[in-house]
Amino acid sequence: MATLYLPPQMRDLTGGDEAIEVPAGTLREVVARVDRRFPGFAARVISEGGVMPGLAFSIDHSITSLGLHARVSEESVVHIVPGVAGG
Amino acid sequence: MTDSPSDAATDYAPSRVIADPDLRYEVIGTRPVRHDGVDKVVGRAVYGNDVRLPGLLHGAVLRSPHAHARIVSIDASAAEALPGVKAVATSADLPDLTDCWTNLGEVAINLAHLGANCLARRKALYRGHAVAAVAATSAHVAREALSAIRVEYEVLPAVTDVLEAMEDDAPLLHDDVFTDSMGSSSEHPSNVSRHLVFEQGDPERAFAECDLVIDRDFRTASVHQGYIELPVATAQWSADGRLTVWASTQGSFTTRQQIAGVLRIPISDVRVIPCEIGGGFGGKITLYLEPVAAILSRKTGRPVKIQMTRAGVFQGTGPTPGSVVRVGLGVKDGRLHAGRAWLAYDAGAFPGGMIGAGCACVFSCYDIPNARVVGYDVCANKPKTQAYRAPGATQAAFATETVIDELAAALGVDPIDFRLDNAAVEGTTRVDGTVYPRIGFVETLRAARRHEHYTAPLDGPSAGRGVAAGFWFNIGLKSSANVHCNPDGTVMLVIGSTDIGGSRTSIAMQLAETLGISAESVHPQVTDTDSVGYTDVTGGSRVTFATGLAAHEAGLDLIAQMRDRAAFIWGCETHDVTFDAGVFGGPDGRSLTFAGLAAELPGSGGLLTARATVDAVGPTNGFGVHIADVDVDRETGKVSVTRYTTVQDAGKAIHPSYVEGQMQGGAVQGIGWALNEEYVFDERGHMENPTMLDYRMPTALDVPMIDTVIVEVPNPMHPFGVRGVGETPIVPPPAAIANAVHAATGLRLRVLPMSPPRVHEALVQAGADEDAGGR
Amino acid sequence: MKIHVRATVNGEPAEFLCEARESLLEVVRETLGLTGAKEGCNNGNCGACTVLLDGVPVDACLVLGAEAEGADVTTVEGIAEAGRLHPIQQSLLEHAGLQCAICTPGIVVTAKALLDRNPDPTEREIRFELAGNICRCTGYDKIVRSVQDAARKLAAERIEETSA
Repeated sequence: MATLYLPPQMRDLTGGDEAIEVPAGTLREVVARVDRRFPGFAARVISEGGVMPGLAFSIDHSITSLGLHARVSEESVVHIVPGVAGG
Repeated sequence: MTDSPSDAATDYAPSRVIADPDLRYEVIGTRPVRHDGVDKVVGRAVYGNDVRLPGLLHGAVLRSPHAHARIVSIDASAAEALPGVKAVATSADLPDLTDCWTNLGEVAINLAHLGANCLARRKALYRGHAVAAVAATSAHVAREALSAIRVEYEVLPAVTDVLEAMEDDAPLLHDDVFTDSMGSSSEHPSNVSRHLVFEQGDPERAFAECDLVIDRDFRTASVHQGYIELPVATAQWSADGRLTVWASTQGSFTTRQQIAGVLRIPISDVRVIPCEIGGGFGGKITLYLEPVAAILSRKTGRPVKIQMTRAGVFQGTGPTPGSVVRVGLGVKDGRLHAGRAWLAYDAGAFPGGMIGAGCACVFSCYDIPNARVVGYDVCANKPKTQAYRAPGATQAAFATETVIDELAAALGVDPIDFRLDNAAVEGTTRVDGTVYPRIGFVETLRAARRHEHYTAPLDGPSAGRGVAAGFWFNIGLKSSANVHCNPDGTVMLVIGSTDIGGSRTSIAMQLAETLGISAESVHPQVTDTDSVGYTDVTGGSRVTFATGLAAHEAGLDLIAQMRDRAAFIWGCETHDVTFDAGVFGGPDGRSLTFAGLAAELPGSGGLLTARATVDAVGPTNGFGVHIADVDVDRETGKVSVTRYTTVQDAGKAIHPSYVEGQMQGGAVQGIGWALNEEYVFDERGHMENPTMLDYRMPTALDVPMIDTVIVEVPNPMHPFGVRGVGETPIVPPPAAIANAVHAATGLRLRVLPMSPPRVHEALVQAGADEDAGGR
Repeated sequence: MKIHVRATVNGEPAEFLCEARESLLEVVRETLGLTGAKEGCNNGNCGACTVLLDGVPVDACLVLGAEAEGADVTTVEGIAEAGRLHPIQQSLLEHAGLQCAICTPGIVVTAKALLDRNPDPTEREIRFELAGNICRCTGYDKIVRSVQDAARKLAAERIEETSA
């Protein structure tokens, strides 16, 4: 199972749990599964069929540029972080 | 004049590279003359304002005289009637977009806000906000016509202070901006557009367990990127619907995307031709002039060029956020055990400041197992803030690195040793949850500790020395490269990364290394958006890393094609052809150099072209450590930097001179941020110092030589070990200098800039306190 | 009404018409097509538009075009001779004394004037002379070293000429 870490501001969805175990798949599948368990999750991270503007998914400690197509493997750790721009 | 500290500075070894002895290269690590150099020293290079077109009209921009005002009406009829005036544009000429996001690779931006920043819609949100623009037969006529445009304003109360803007009763900039807290939105509109919380471990319990806790408050002023080239754009909207824009931009493709988005036209109708760019530092990623020049060109049928004035640059373009930061750190058994930080950053007139980076950077140099970070992005009546070299990191590091210095002093530990004891290493978890890959912070700290400067004697009672560290993420993103092989053994390298500081050469050198030819045998060209594959911005310290990777991969593609050709010529199989150090080898001892085979190409099936497009991953992080010596004039409060050393992990320095140049230039920008630069606002929210005389950037006379030590801890994710370099060097200087000022005077200054009046006041106050204590 | 001006520009006689309000910077860039001098502030603070007026470095944005009457004007385009770079240009290239290079034309002109007047300047003198030319990219270190190196090159040239 992959592990999804929720930032403190999303832990209201899980009743305070920081980490959730999820089966591997595309990020879209992962988000859909989490949303089934914790309704409202998808609305917090997805907008118009893509990742919410201003947010980014980090898979195995690297920000993915593949959006919801990104692959999450069985050993993956996934973080949700704010987008960061360089100068 | 010979006894100044800066004269002495030339005596010691100014630069050093600490390299991995196992890595050997022919081209990489050498210092060739940059390919575009001659054009730039003889005045021939074509920058944005040097574009000449037949029938060219000149534009000028009318800016709001109020920091916050409703635009009741705009009457341009008198201006339009003036001789030489060809058109006037207002926001009515741009599509009225509602929330409409586009992803620029690094971040997504709201095109509705971008358009309204280019030309104010309904409200002017800061003094200097563009309200209208004129195209005329000369720049003089255009500027004069601005005064004939009658704008009726309803002046509104303004707020420029970040804390005041957060108050419930503060003047509200937008009735459609709500506080976003990781996907959940506030009920009522607010100037606070974003609220972030990061947490790891159990900070509350951890603080209770600490032997020593220090909490401090800090403020930093808004500062400008300060590029010397005035923003300029030339647009030609042809009758066939195609729009060509000559731009001064950090990213031609993202400029194309933003233009198409703001104007709501197909991206394929827009061609962006990037000119040479006179500095950006993050400030030339967004658009200001391009859509305005475009609609003026559409109205007139002629090309239109608009160049900003310097006052327009200060008042109308992004400074980087001013900040209010509170940092607390706790130590248990000599190790950092707990951290807490509260950060509020200016966003300026529209949401989207640098708060995310500020929050993720505030503790990024250290292994702090328990931490909580809270951040706010706050709209205020100032120009929309923009990225500036490691955007968001410098404000945060100023706070943390000052508190670290205080902790080390309280513990009686050397400040570099204290950092070494607590340094982030491979495997350390940052507060946003990211675990570090192989990084070179410890190696960088050790190199600084060993540097002669660190233990050199200080001269005089008003001298002091400080150190500070800095971190920046660095990014990868997308880059493309085309390589055309010539029959004389040279290659043309075509890239889309605009070259701000010599990157053509650092990319060409990576291709040369790949092909086994000299740097001079590669001819790099930066081309327009029609002529090369998609390439993200020149920013995020990514170009030498990512576009270098694209050039390397295109080089590998070319070698593969040339091995096929050698096999054809020699009548063997491709797998029988080897390639090593620029020489193709075949059966029976046959061999051809790269140039030898290139000469055979035209007669054996034709010349070859290779290409690559990469989505580069693994830029890995940049760490730097700076050592600053200062001398404080107790009469005037002036702080002089007398000696300065920067140490940084570059992964692998492709062209060490330009790596040193990034370290030196970033350090001096940081020195300016530390000591002099600030937006001064009056009570109406008007910037009082919009000139380069009053907005005081460092001159040659203000700084010493900047010594450099390049540490090379190769990045395992790049074929040559490259890490980004450009941004990290601006991060440490304010804290290094504040720590040096403390060493010199015993005073802790926690407000930037540490300008002479502020330092003088602190010295006077300290003297008064001492007198009072003495009685 | 325009003013008729005769001057010497980069060693060649030049004639142009300009409005009374036009600066020398506008004249060299727009009328004469010499775009090497750059506009960074248009009020004499940044030095990107530095040209030589009768051998003295001036901010071209602070001089009126009409003031060039009878004067000898040298822009960055006139510093290299017959395709041979001036030592300051060569040194800037060798020492990476340029990044974005928008300030470089002004630096070249100012440094050339300094070296003409003072062939062996101290670091302090170089910094003093360049204080009117703001560079935001380099932190000045490599520019100062380039000027020092150009002084050495010029000294070597002088010795060569003397011995020849």
